[in-house]
Amino acid sequence: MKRGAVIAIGGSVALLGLVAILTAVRPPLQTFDRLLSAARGHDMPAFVEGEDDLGVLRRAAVHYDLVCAECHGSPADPERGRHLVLVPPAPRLHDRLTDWTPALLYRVVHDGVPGSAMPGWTAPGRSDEVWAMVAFLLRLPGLNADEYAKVAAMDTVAQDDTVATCARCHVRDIDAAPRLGIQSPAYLADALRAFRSGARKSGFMQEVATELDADAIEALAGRLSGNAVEVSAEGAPAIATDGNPDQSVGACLGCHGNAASPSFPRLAGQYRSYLETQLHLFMEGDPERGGGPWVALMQHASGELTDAEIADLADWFSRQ
Amino acid sequence: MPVIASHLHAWRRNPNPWLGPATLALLAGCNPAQSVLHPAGEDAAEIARLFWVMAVGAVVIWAVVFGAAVFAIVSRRKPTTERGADLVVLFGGVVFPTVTLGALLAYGLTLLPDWGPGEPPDLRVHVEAEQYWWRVRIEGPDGAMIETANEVVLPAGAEVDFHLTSPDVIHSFWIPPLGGKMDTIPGRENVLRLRPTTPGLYRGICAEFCGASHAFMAFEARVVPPEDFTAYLAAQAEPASGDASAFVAAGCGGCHTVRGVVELGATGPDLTHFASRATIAGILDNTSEILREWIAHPVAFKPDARMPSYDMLTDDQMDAILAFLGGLK
Repeated sequence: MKRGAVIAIGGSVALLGLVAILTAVRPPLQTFDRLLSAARGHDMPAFVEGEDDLGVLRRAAVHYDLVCAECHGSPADPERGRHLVLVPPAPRLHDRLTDWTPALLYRVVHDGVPGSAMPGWTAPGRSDEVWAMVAFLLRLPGLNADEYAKVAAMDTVAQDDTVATCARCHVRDIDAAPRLGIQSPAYLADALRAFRSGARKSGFMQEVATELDADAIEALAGRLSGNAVEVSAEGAPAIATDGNPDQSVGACLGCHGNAASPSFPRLAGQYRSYLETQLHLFMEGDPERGGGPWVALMQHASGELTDAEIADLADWFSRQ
Repeated sequence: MPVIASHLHAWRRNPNPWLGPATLALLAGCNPAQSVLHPAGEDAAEIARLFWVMAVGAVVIWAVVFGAAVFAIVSRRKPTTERGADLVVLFGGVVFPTVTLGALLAYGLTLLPDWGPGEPPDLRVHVEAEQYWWRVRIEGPDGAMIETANEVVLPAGAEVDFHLTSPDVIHSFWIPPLGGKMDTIPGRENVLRLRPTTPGLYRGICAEFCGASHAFMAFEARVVPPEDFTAYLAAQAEPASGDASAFVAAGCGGCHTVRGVVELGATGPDLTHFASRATIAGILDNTSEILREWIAHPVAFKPDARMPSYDMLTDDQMDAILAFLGGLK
């Protein structure tokens, strides 16, 4: 009787230990992962086909090059991170990721790998960012050094300048990241401070903003800012000019018009994809996005927008 | 956080500092601004009369019944004849209740409102009850709508139709001294006819639980002589003016219309003649100091209110906004 209990307890401990070691030592086994995902059924939003465009790949690639490649290496520098003594060692992802499913990649990027140096995503509510990473990682094994350098905009790295780092994503004509040249210094500084403190949620931006101190933020905001694009109310969706009292939506131009405070973001001339993502984040709930000192206004004023209204507004503002 | 009670509009304050909070609840009923027993309108007068008739009648009947019971116990008289007992039962138990209830029914039926279309009203007021404030549109003589908020001004002696609706949940529109209440229901329009008679200052309330700030969803109802009403309407129809740059820069115009100055959103109350109103949001004294606290922390006064807290404004920005709002006479 006693011996039976000892065997049962010892066996359970050994089995649990084995599971723990398996999940820690190597990326989780796929069958095991599927079982877990099915059992948890937790936040695993659907993979959006067609997100595989240059803007999405660019922001994920730059993040990979700035952060992930420190340990995992990259096609451009396969030996990077080899000197790190990690247990378990960080796999060379450009060689290893041949038969991983999007769902598995999502889980590893979102949650990290327990018991290893691999951290989870800094902004867990930003599934759009995690999916961007997944889209890039699926492409990674097929990239040679030149292609990788191109998608990760490595040509600017040689310049030892913060603005050059920003410009890897915040670049003209690619909607990898929002246009900054239309914003005021006040707004950009508020945004950078919010990213740095984590008040505004973004795994991409938090990584780079934490590198900046208060003076660097002021200086950078001044250099990145520029002139606003004039808004003309012609052809504007009704919500932009009048709001919609029935859905608690304020008029967009109340805060994003020509006479608004420089503390508010300017939307005219902004990329459509960025505007859509942000409005969807506001719809998902306040903690998913967070924001700077003025964000409470938008959290109240954005009310209940439908997907069609969001598309309309983003399109109109982007065409200004 | 501001101390809410000290800012509430006068009619909510304790009228006598020597009375403790326990007596406050009872005294609230004695305040004529929100009392059905101090009627200032035709309907309220009928309701009050009905109440007094019923109350006095109930007291008389109660006294007779208990008097008879006490008499039966105390007198220790021998039973009367069987015929006498039958007569008591017949008159006290059948004839008297039938006659009394019949009379009350006839009186009650005369109080019912007329069915079907009646005379057209002298004035139409469109009221939208929203969490947690009142959007009021007065139909002017030329048919134009004049919008205001948390304030209903009425001419004494006029028949007024209130067209009631709501964009969010069910509320109920009630000015106790003027008449009965009526629900405001999303998706439909209810019409309530009132005829205020006595000029004065009254308090309207929401009488159907509607959310966290239901108890703070009040408004000022002011009955004025007809000539004053004409002047009021003319003044309200005027556009506003003033230096709105700080107000516009802070984004206030996204939700608040100030006619003639910024006409974008109308999600929040119209502020065109805000300074002419007695209250802020229907519940607070309209002073500059209280308005400063309201703008910085609306939810401290009305929990769950849709207006965001403007506690990030600098003193200069706030002063400029207060100066602009204070000039909207």
